[in-house]
Formats: sequence, C-alpha cells, structure tokens
Amino acid sequence: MVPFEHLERRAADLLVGVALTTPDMQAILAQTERVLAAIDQLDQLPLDGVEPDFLNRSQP
Amino acid sequence: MSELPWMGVVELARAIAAKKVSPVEVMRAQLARIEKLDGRFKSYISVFGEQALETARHAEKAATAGQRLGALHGVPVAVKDLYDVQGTPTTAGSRFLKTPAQRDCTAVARLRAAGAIILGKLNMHEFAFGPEGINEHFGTPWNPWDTSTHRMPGGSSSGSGVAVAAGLIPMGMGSDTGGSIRIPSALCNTVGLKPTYGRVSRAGIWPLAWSLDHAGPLTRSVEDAAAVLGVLAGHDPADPSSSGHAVPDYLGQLAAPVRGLRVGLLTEYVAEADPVVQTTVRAAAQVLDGLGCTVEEVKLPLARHGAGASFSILISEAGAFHDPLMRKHGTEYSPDVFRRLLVARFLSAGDYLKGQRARRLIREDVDKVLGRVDCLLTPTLPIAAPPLTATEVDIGDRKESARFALTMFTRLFNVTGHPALAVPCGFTGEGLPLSLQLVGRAFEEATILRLGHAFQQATEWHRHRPTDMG
Repeated sequence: MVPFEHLERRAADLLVGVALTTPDMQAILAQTERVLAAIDQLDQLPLDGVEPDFLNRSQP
Repeated sequence: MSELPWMGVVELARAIAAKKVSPVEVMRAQLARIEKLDGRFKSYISVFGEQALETARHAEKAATAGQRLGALHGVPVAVKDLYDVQGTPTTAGSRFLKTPAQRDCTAVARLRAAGAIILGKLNMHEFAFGPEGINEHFGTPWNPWDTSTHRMPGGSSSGSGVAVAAGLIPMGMGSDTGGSIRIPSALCNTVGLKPTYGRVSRAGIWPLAWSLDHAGPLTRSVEDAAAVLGVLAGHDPADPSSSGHAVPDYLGQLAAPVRGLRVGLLTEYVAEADPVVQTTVRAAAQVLDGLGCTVEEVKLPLARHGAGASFSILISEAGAFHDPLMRKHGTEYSPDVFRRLLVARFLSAGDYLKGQRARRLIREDVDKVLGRVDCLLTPTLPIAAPPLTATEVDIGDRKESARFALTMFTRLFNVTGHPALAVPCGFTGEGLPLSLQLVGRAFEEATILRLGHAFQQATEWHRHRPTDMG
C-alpha cells in the first residue's frame, strides 16, 4: 500500500461525491500523491509577498 | 533511393531558387519515401499527397518564371496534428476530434506565406500529454535508431522526431509544454528548438497548458531551425501571449564567431544524468571550449523546484481545458492520458497559484545565472531511448520512473520560458543518440542557435543516419 500522506492532508478539502468511476483508482491516487509531494516542496521557497507570474511576455 | 529526402530546409530552398532541383521532383521523392517506409515508422497521421503535389507544381511554375515565393519556396514541411490546417481535422492524436479546421493556424499560414508546402500531419502522444510519444489510436511511431526493439520515440511530438530523423520530412513542427519538442529530438537525433515563450504564435494550435505551451521546429540541422524560426517569429494579435520583440536575422547571425561566449555547464543536471550522458556532455563542453568559448560550472539553486511548479501549472491548466471534453468523451481517451488529467481534480486553486508564484522565483534564479553567462549547457535527457514498455529506467545505479526521467532537464525551461535548443552530441555503445541542451536568455535565440551551429560545424553527430526499415 502506497502511503498517502500528502493526499490525506487534502482529503478533507475534496468535494464530496467526486465520481471517479474507474478501475484505475489506485494508479490515479499514486500519481496524485507524487504530484502533491512535489507541489508541497514549493513551501520551502520564500513565497511571502511573491505574486504569481503567468509569463505573459506580450509587452516588450 | 533518392538522396533528395535527406536534403535540409536551407539546402533545398537554395537548390530550388537556383533551379538545380524542382519542387515537384522533391515532393515526389519525399512522398515515395513516405509510401515505402511509413507503414513501419507510423510517423504520419495524414499525408496530403495530391494536394501537396499540386502546390509543388505551382511552386515549380513560379521558380521557372524567376519568382521567389519566400524563404522556404517549394520546401516540403509537416506539422504535428495539433496545428490547424484549413479543411482537415485537427485530431490532437485522439480518436474523437474529427471536425475540419476552418482556417490555418498562424504558424501554418506563415510557413505557407514563405513558400513552404504542407505535406501532412504528424503523429503524437494523445493531446500532447506524455513524454513517451505513444499513441494507441494511430500506432506508436517507431524510433528509427533500433530496428529490432520498439523503443520510445519520445513525446509528445513523436511523429515529428521520427519523420525528421528517418528522412521522411526535412522539418516537422512540434509543441513543447514540458519538453515535447526536445525529448523526441534527443531520442531520435534531431535538432529541436523551443523558442522563448511568446516568440512564436500559439494561435490555432490545440493547447495543453496555456502558460507553458511553446511551438517550434524539429530539423536535422541548427541552420534549418534558424531558417524556420525566422519565418515563424513575430507578433500575432491572435495570441494574447505573443511578444512584440523585434525579430533578428537568425540565419544571418549564425556564422558570427562564438569565441568569447560564456557557457555555464549546469552541474546539478550533469550529475543527475547516466554516466554515459555525463561523459558525452562534458566532451561537448570541451568542443565548445576548443571553439574559444569560456566554459564554467554553474548552479541553479531553485532548479529542483521545477518539477513542483511544472506539475501544478501543467495539470491544473490541462485539467481545466479538458474538463468539458472528459465529461462528454471520457471513455474515448487513452487510459494513461485520462488518468493524468483526473489528477487535476485533486489540485486546489491554491496549488495552482503556488506554482505560478514559485515560477517567478525560479525564473529570477535562471535570469540571475544568465546575467553571468551567455547560455546554459545541460544534457537534454539523463538517458537514451528506453524500450517502449519500460516504466522504470536505470540512471547510473538508481532507478527512476521513465516518465519522470524524460522531463527531468526540460520542464524547468517551460516554467521559466527561456529558449532551449536540443542538439545531437553522441551515441551510446548500442548506437542510441544522445543530446545536449543549450538554454539562452529570453528572446536571445540567436545566441544559442549560433553556438549550436558552431558545434555542428565542428562535429558529425547530426549527420548520422539510421538504418532504413522497409
């Protein structure tokens, strides 16, 4: 069983009734866990006061 | 077989302008080669044989009359099947998108305006969402560097990489959201250019993730990539991310000396690659040093956060775009793509914005290093082409997920938007190609193209041809 540490933290936030009617649930959860772990690592960055950068370079 | 299909974009354009070869002769030779070999390679989704020949006849007539239609007069080109080409369906590698496009996308319109002839549309990972380049609907393209084992062609622009490497087209357009131009280039021994974000219009190209998507060419030489970028670059009001930066003469600047350019060898990425890749990229650094460049080792402290930022942005944007389609056509998606898109339902708006905020810091980190050196040098990939069925790969003495490994060194520069060029730089003992990546300052494609061209003038790696497979 893959540990779902990061996923469990978010479980309470998930919309009730998300209907993922697929036999691949275990694979989806494992993939999600890896993605969330990488995203959670971003908390190590000094993000205070940093605004999003959507990379819109339309103005020279 | 004819040597014409092996001529490059610039070489063909010059030969046609000088009336040494005719566009019809070139097109017939290219179509004959596709007819003979692509049943095995599976690089095309559709080939516009008659239509392309008819356009070639017009190009020939104009050439005979001394008219020049543009920089790519009479040159056959192909596009990944997520570029809109008027009157043909843009399948995006899926089985359910069948409506013909009402108009050409901006990139195709610019290629046509320069005299290029659109020969067909190239295979790809479904919806451009996968670095392996597999496609269960149209068949997975065969990597031409191994005739016995089906190896990953690299994705998502798998058809573009295979067609260019196998002499089935001199230039194939690709798209790159986490490495999808550079990965097939590296695995198939072609040049792949991901320009700066905003440099080439995305209008009319099926999106994967709006703020990470880039359009660019796969070719057999850096010179050809420069010629194609010169045609494609420039502001397009139809694309809100398109830049108004002036477009330099990329081809004209190619031969400028590289002596004195400062190249930063990115040590974190080199150290994470397989030993054969490390040796090969260090040897390439020696070649650049021999050309008079100053090569120094550099570090990017925030590079390790590229994965988190890339995942949060890519999956959130792709999930948002596909949500309505998934509700209607869910069972028609490939399971691997559908599964990855479902991950988006577990991400919050805060996760997405965390990625976009991290992006600012990571971009500034790259900009800071690029303030000291003119470009970065990294391996394009940590490995050579794995077998198609591999889910894990060995990198030195450690194991890594194949999918994760393929984007390890490419996805960072989709997050930051810097231009990146994949260039062939060697082969493994098994004869599989290896590739280096040059990364430049924003809108300074001319510098990395100049360096890549100088490297190709000093080496022969890009001239190797795979064995034909009938």
